[in-house]
Amino acid sequence: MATTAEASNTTTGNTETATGKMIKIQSNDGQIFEVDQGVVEQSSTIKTLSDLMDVGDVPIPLPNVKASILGPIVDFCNHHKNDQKPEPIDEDDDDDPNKDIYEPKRSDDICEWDLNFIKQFTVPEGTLFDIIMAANYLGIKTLLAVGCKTIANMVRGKSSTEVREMFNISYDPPGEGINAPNAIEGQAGTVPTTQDANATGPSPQPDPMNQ
Amino acid sequence: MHEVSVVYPLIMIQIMNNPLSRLECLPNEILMYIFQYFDARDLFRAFYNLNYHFNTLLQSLNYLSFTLLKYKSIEINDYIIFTSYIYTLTIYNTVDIDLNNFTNLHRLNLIEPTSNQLKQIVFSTLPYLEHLTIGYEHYLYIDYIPEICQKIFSNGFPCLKSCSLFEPRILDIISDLTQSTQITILKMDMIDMLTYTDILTLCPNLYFFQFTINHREQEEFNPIKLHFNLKQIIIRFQSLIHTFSDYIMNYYLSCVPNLEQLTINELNYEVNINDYLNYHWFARSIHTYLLKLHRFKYYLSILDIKNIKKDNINHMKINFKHIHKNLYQSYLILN
Repeated sequence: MATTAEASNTTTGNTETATGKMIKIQSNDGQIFEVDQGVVEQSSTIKTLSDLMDVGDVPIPLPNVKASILGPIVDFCNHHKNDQKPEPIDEDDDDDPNKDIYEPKRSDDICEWDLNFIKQFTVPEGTLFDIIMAANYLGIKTLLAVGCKTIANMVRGKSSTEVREMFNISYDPPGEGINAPNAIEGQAGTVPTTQDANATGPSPQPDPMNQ
Repeated sequence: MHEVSVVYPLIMIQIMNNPLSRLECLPNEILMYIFQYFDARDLFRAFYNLNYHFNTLLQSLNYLSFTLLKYKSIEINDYIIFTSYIYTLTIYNTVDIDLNNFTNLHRLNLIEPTSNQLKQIVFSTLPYLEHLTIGYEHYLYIDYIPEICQKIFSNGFPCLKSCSLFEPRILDIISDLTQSTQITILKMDMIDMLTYTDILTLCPNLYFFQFTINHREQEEFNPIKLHFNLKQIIIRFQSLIHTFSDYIMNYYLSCVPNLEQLTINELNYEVNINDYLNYHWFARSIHTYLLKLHRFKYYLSILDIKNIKKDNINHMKINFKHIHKNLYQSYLILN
């Protein structure tokens, strides 16, 4: 049975507030959250669904997000709903047509509130990936960026051995993937790629990148 | 029995046994999003040869950047695995690396070029190179400056269309070069009227030109041909409000009748704000010569701008707007 979340429920019963129409959203485990337009505007998915459907008092189902993730997302959007919107990019306003648009993006510019927010999500519990997936599904670009920058900051400077350990990344099975006998040259035989000492692929060698 | 080929059976089994979300379960689009925050070295160091999935993703990247600050020859073995994916290569200092390994190179920035680096460019094809930066030479004198200029300005690189050429010695040989129909974007330092004339002749298809003016007393006013393709100019100069007169600006602007965007960037560290209160901001030159201008930006960099009264700043901005008469977008930016 659906329950209404208290943490993010800013009104009781009414669907109109000073900030405009309230909309109900429902997590895949049945919890309902009431959000205002300031939150809706940050999620392209919720905005599209609320525009398309005349939902009235019926909650919008969000089958890909569970309540333990949707609740903090509502908090995130509530915190950021009054942020100054970035000025629209005017193509004609580009002073330098030669700018390298592919240069690596910065990941060290997460604000303090967002840093504290994202700390509640962890790799061992898998919740850091849950929040990233949910941000992607809901179309909340700012949250998606915070999540991805957090992963980037965790990884930067680490070797693949450390990354494998940090994120529990799987090996290819013996004889498959980069352990396959016909693996692309330059991949096979350069690193330990399997946990199986009897793997049929080329003999594991130390990875020069990781020394 | 026919064996079905499965690429990731272990990960699928692990996911079924352990429903917790994991990095490698993220969709490729999100992993690619994460990869945007890395340069090639960090990216390959962290993710290469983890498994087939990650290798495939890395090998699908076409726009990787790589910056070499220091280089030990022993590191070449580390870099060789990703050199063929590098789109933008930036080299500082005396790093000498074999550019032939960078088969996908589109942008090359030599911040302090050495003779060996330039020699490689002269004798390499670099078939995809679209942009080349040559900064100030690392040593007092490097070889191959004439050769590299000759190659640039004779369409010697099949795809080259953009150059940033800051090494001053290039200016000495510019008049001896042939014509480049390829170059459309050019940035240079410290040019005078003569060089400006030479450049416009040398690059008939130039679309964007950024340069710093090196104004010398008693410069000769050579006749200058109209250049119809130049649409955007960025001019930089230093603290010349009293000496940088209209007649000099007239020279630079009179030959580009189709200019659509003009940006002036003035550095003034000995400012007397009174000089600017009723300044003309080159309005007369613009109104006379740039009839197709869409946008004019004037950046005025002032030391201790915080100490200037707000009233004076407002007065400057109002005068600036007024004098340009809404004939085009006009912006005065103080920083």
